[in-house]
Amino acid sequence: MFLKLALRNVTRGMRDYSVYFLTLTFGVCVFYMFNSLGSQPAMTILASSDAGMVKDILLYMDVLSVFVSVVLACLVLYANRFMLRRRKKELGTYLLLGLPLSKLSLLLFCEVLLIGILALVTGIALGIFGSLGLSALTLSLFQIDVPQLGFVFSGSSVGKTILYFSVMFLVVMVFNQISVARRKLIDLMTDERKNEVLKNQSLPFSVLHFLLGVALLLSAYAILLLRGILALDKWFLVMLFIGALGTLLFFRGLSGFILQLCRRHETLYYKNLNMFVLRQWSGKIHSTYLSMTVICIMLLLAIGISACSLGLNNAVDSSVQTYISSMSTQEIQDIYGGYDNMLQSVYLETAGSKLLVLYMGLYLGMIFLLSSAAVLALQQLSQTADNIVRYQILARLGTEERMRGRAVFAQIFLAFFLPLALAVVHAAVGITAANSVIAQVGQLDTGASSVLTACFILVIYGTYFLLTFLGSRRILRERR
Amino acid sequence: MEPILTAVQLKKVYGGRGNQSSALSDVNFKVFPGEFTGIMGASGSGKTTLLNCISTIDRPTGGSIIVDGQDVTALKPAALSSFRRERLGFVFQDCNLLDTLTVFENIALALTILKTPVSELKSSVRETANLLGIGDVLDKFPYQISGGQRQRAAAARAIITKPALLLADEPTGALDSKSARLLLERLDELNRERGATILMVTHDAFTASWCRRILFLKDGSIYAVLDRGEADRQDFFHRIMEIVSELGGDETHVS
Ligand SMILES: Nc1ncnc2c1ncn2[C@@H]1O[C@H](COP(=O)(O)OP(=O)(O)OP(=O)(O)O)[C@@H](O)[C@H]1O
Ligand SMILES: [Mg+2]
Repeated sequence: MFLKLALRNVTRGMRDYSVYFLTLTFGVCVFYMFNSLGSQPAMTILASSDAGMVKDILLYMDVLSVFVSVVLACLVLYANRFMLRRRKKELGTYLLLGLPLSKLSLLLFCEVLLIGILALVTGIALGIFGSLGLSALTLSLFQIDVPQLGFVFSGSSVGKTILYFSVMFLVVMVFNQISVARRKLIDLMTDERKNEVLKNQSLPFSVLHFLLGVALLLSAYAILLLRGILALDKWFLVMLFIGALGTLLFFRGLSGFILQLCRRHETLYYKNLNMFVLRQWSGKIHSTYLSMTVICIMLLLAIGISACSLGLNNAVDSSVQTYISSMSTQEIQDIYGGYDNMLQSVYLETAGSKLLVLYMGLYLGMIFLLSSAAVLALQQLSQTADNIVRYQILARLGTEERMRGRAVFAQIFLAFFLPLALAVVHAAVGITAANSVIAQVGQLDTGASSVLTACFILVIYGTYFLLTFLGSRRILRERR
Repeated sequence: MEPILTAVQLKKVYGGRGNQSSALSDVNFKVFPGEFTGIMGASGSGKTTLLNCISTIDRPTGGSIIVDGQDVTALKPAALSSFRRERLGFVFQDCNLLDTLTVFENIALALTILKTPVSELKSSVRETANLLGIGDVLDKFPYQISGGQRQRAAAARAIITKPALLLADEPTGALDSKSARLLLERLDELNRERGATILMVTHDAFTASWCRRILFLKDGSIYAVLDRGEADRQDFFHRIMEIVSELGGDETHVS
């Protein structure tokens, strides 16, 4: 039966599907977490004093979720297209064996459905765990002890998640139908790998680009640090522009610059496959520097938003503390009628806006992180597919499997690590600037929030990196 | 003299149960050091299969291949890699050079994976490139040079490690007759002056006439062996053509 074939394809091809599946699962997980906020203990407590605020927060989350689902839909479509390209031959073979086009569509339909269901289940399960973490985080930020910190399960949010993602799957299915129907058999059989024109950049030029990029970045940093982040004026826009341009030029020139440096250092350059990796990297830079820039900026947003929203929370806390300590016991008694009462009401007053900032920040941050990691992973995987022939030549020349594996690792590591590294530097400067603002309100503890942000990044980004590396190594191994 | 290559009862069967097709059956031959041997045969006669088995890219189904005293059919993957980079040199019809590396780097690559020190590497690349007449295109990328220069660069990469055995699968397949001649002259020179052992697959009787000995394959087994002896290339060419037409190949006709 059909479902059986689909099931077999899915289980056997799980490694091909892995990035697609992971993106869906993480997407579902994050989506669920932030749509089940209404059942969070922190929100229940807040609702007891400020029901209007809770409504507002949930409304904001709803609106944000629409945006997020559009982003996720694009990601899922992108991942799906990549997977379809990878399976072209296989699908073509089905047609060749006499499977009618309509049946092929049905097969794909079943596969998407199966993976979708699997991802929904896993994602929601993960989301329930994630919600637990989120409650722990919020409650600790509010310094409220809740005796029972149980799993948050919200039926309505599950329903909403399923609804939104079903629409997404529907879009994917329609897309698959169209692309299968429009493609002739012959197209499915032959890889349409376009002959990429290899333009090797002129090295002096890239050194120039690189130096210019660094200079621009430094001046953007200087503007930011000298003027602070709050001055939303002409200079701020100039800073943004210079920063973005600097990032672009930095990535445009970096590979050439490093290539130039290493070529001077011959023992390094002519060691193992270093030469190959460097050339490979700089040969591809024409098609990758733009996406590296975009990914770097997305990562910056992810880091910046989550770190700042967490940091701001802490800052508000400490300003509250300052406020409290500025009052005498007598005043406390007069205004609030007791210390405990005062704590309660002061915290709750700020709680609403704090929660809003925190949740929105984390939500957006996670989505940005997810998007950049997924895009990067897919890009690297399709580049690997283009590299098959090159690695084949290396194998024929007698390069050991391990050496080739290391070259693959280096290539993918560079692609993942560089945007992240620059984004972290950007974010560090930005947070320093923001600190000086926030510190005026209260003392900012970025330590804890940075650790938390780092954990998110490590988990999501790290998983994608690992999958990409393993996937690439497999692609290169299977074709020999 | 010990043979550098011995093929014993070589068999290769493609496909699994049901739809088996035999590409090589009972191929036996020897190649001695310093020989320039050609392999000819009609399309599908098993030339590439034979070369792939010798170059350890493919494993034969039966029989053994002894290169330099070592049975390569029994080698493990790691040993195979080291065998390839230390003992063999390859020139293939296409997909030869890495398009992201310069010609210099492409040639040097064979040495870097052998972990040759840099000082030795540079002079060695220059010397080999000059020998093949591509000393002036070393800093260019493969797409910036002609097809003939590319083939010579691939040949340079193959011989720079001083392999025990140089394997070439239709090295002139993509070349016009003038570039083909240039490359063949170099291979001939290498063979005579440096004593390189060469095994070359070709379709083409003209290319084959540069060899000292030709093995003719038909349907996966050796049909005839032709020794050049003292004959000159013209004579040898005619003798090759005779066998080719006997084999019913398409080379006798101008198409
Ligand atoms: N991977 C393979 N799987 C199945 N059969 C194969 C495979 N490779 C080659 N064959 C078959 O083995 C036989 C010999 O093929 P081979 O490539 O050695 O021919 P060839 O002499 O090199 O031909 P040509 O001159 O056209 O390159 C052919 O019948 C071919 O169809
Ligand atoms: Mg062939």
